[in-house]
Amino acid sequence: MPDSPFHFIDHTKGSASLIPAGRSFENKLRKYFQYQIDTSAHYASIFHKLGLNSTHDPFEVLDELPPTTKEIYRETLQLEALTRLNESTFVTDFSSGSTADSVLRLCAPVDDLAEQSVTETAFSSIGMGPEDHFVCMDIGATEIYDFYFRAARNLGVGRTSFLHLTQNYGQSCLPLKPLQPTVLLTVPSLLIRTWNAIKNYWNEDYCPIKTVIHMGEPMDEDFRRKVEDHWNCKVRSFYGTTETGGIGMSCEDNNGIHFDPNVFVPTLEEVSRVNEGEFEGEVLFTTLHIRTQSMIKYRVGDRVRINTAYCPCGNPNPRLTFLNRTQEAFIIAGEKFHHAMILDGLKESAPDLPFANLVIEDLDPTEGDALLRVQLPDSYREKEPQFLTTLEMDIFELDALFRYGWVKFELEFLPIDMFQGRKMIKVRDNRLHMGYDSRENASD
Amino acid sequence: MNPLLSAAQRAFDETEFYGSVYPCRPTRLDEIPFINHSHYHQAMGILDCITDRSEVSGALAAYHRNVRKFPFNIVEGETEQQQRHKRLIHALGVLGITSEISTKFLLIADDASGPFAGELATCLAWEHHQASIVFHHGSDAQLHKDITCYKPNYLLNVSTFSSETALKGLAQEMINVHHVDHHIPDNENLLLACDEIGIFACRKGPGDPFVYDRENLLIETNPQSRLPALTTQNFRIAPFIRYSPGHYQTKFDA
Repeated sequence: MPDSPFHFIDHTKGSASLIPAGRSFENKLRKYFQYQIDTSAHYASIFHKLGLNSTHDPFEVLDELPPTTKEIYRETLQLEALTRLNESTFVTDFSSGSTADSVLRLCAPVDDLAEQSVTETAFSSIGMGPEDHFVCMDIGATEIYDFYFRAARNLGVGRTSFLHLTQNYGQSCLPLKPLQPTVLLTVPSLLIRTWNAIKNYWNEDYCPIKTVIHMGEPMDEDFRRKVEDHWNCKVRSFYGTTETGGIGMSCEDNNGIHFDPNVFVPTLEEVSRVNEGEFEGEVLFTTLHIRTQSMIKYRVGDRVRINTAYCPCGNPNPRLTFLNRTQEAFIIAGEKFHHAMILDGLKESAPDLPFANLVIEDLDPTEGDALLRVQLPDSYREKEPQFLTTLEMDIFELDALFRYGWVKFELEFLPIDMFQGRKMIKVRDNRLHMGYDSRENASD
Repeated sequence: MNPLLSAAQRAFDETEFYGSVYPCRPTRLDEIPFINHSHYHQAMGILDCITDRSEVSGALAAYHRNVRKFPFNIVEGETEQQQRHKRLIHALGVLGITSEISTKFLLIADDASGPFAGELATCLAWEHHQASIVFHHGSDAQLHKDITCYKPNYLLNVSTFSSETALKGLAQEMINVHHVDHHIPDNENLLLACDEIGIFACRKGPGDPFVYDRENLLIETNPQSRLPALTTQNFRIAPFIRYSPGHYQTKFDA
């Protein structure tokens, strides 16, 4: 088995970065830092404040530099980018705001091409080519799909279309059947909502779709298997964010997202070793391929696991496995919980439960601390008693809070059409002290 | 105050470009010059042409993504986006298509017009219409097959190269988006577009004048060139005042 061409370097503050081996990458990173000093007043001031420059060891510099937050991206880097691109052409990409407040990304033509190159590599890894018919299905975000279609055309794909879903999912997805795409790209929340309508367009004996690509959010593992089994196809995950662009695609072995650390340098915060060559923590990305609004150690808000071990698929690049979004964690009475804990608990009673959205609200102080409202598809209503028992008794620490009277539960069963938006917001914390403004998210 | 004069004064007061292109703050209509894209050589960049960079919420895609005679990007604030949306809805209303009944559109685009088509699809989706997009990249027969799959009520042709022969023989009602840089054909159901403000006028019959949303836009004829000149009188960050987007004489509803 060949040695991995990538290795982790430990930093001083409980973090580690994954870097390609060899001096050339060191020089590349050094040049990148100099570019940031030359072109970004924000980063130049940080280098200056910390007494750093591009002659210092770039890996030590990487250690010293603070993370870049969404606020900095939105309030500083965005305006810097507009100033830089004053005389140039550029395109813009507005994030959905499903994970935080929306951000606007400005892309010069070279940035667009750099991202296109990553996307082409990802699409190429699933074998996309001239014989394919590529359909993207969504309720909006057409600019992303136009971009994907361009990447597909560069791989020789001649037939592409965007299928617009409306709230009448059953009717609006009807064209999918006669279109008979070979590659279908969509968002998991939408695939779940259309599944009942589209699943029987084909069966395992004949289905034109050989690959379903999902993007924008992770897909529930059970649902992924259900789609693969029912359509006899492969489901691949295309991971990325508005700010970083596409990062990588999962392989046929479904062992994580293959990505190139020559382009995206991951730094893991609060890192812990899983085993030899595998670490997990909150990931920060340094985007070496982006020139406008490029970011050093950008906090995308995901906890991930990164594995450098040899992958059976043969791709030498490391693999990233998404664990959870940091924003999908919430605290009740001082105890921290993750959305995944709740969903996994509920799945004990309903293994095929595709999702559960959590809404946390203040309780009258005489009644307790918080109300945890769990929104579920109405087809699972008959499981209500089991779900309540799970919430009250089976989730570690949540059961104690319930017994002490800190938390109350409410189950809300809704028709699947009532779950709005492209990507579902899994945790919505409406408590006053969270400073949540529901109006901001209403337009997502 | 006259809305044109008011808009010109605001543009003069709030942007570097109009501050430099006007010899003085206009106080009468005859002090507002007619301009076109060539005047923008006086601007250093797009920031000279807008009132507030912090209110930029997006960039408007050009009709042909690789070709634009305006020298800079067109950026928009929320007001500009809303007004562009209203102009499209008004234009469709002229064709008898209202938002009260959801209908199925299929946009025909190509590699060059994809981003512009995407903007239109977004506007249509806001009005609860279904707006899918098919890209004309292969044979005409392939395109016809895809159109059959989608079964739209209306075809909205945004393709920069799909000729009339390619689209001949289709049962659906056809709406063509026409860019002002090209000679206006004798087609029915024509939406007129420019890169600076998107779709801004509409004509149902070939002999009809173009109709536009007067609450949203002023269109005059430059007395010298006889070319249409538009004014976005309700602008928030990106004004166009007596600006001629094209070089073909065009008849508008007086």
